Amino acid sequence: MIYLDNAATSFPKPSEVYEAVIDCMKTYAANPGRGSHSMAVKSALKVMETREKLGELFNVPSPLNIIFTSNATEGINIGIKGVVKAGDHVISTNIEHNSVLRTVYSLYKKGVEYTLVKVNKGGFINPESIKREVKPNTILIVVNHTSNVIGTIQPIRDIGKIAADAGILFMVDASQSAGIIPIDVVDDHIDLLAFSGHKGLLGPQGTGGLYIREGIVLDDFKTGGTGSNSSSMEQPFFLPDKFESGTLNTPGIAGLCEGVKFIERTGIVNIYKHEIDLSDYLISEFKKLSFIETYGNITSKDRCGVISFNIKEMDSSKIGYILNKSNIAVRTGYHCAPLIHETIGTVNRGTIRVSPGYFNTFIDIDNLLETIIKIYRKESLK
Amino acid sequence: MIIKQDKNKQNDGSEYIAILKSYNQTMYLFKQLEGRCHNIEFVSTPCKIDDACSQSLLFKEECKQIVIDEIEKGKLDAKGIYKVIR
Repeated sequence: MIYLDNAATSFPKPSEVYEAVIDCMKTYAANPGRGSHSMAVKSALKVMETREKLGELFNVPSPLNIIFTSNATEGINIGIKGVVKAGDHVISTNIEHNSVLRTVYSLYKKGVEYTLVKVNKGGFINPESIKREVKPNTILIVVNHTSNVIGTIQPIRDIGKIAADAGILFMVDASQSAGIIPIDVVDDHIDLLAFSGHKGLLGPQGTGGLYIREGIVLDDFKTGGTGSNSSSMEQPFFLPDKFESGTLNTPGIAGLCEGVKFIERTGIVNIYKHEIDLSDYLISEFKKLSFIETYGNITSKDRCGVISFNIKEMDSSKIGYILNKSNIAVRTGYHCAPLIHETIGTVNRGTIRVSPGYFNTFIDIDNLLETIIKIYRKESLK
Repeated sequence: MIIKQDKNKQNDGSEYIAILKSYNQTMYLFKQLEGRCHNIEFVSTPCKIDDACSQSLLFKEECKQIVIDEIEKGKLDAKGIYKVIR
């Protein structure tokens, strides 16, 4: 199978990731944070090492301000629901994933106001449009760093500056960008950073996290045992314990640690370059095919390796089905980001999304192109 | 409460335990001390001192100042450093 669905989850992972998961499960996967025997300490040390590696990657001042979650969506829920109250106003955009849209909408039904700023056809947010929407009760700006539909990279540093100047919290959904595009929570003025562990960070599924800037107080998301303050009925108020009740996914986190180390060794710039080189090549070949319509920004500037397209008058799901029969994995449809389809003109149609990863090759892209041409020729004769 | 070390005092072989606010802070400190303090151990806190399932770091006299410095550097919340009396 040629796997071109890395925006959903990266595949394959570096071999060290698989080995770390197995090694953890086979040799030391005791409960981290729940004992002082050697296996528990080894598990907890691995969890702490992973926090530190993530902290270095995002320039987080203290690794204790990173909490582990089961995915980016959970981090987004913890961040948004933890800080926004009835009567507050939230600003986001129409290029967001449902992880943000549905979370904000669920709060709207409880008395929260929201504004979704529209992106342009290229998928870009104008930071000034966000600034114009700020109201006295605006408490949070939430922005998707990189689109999972058309790959647009947003100017988060500019938006973060607007938020910081206005005294508004700034949350970034880095589901698609973490591990591929540099993120600096200090320079980018980020208060809350939600990330998935199983996409660009190359870890196993079931991993993710949320950075919470020191001083931000969020409501509990879940309560229970933390291995700390056990004699008290109160949930601990300090990080990361406050949001890590229950046993962590230590094998997954051990794998994530190796994913981050792989990124460190390879260089985030090299990973991005490879993915954008493959994407640029695909887009340049698409331009030669009159029956292909590509969406969003089709230059390599401010775009990551996510490309959405359609084949003239053909249903995207059908193309995905045929590609799968040809052993090529892509995603079709709305990609859980419904509102952006109004902007790019694909309502009731969706798109075919190709998202190459670090382990894809130019041969994979050639195979995809060849198959698409064959599909078009065959289907247009019907 | 953090005991300040008397730098003129001779190393008498005493042992101490450092209790921090949380397991995670204790683990963070433990990791910072790796390779710098020999024979440092991660132990369950005696329930007489803290009945909260907490873990502590057990270390020798010669590490005391390093431990104190790291607690301050990491802005960690120490519940206390106790001398072990056997």
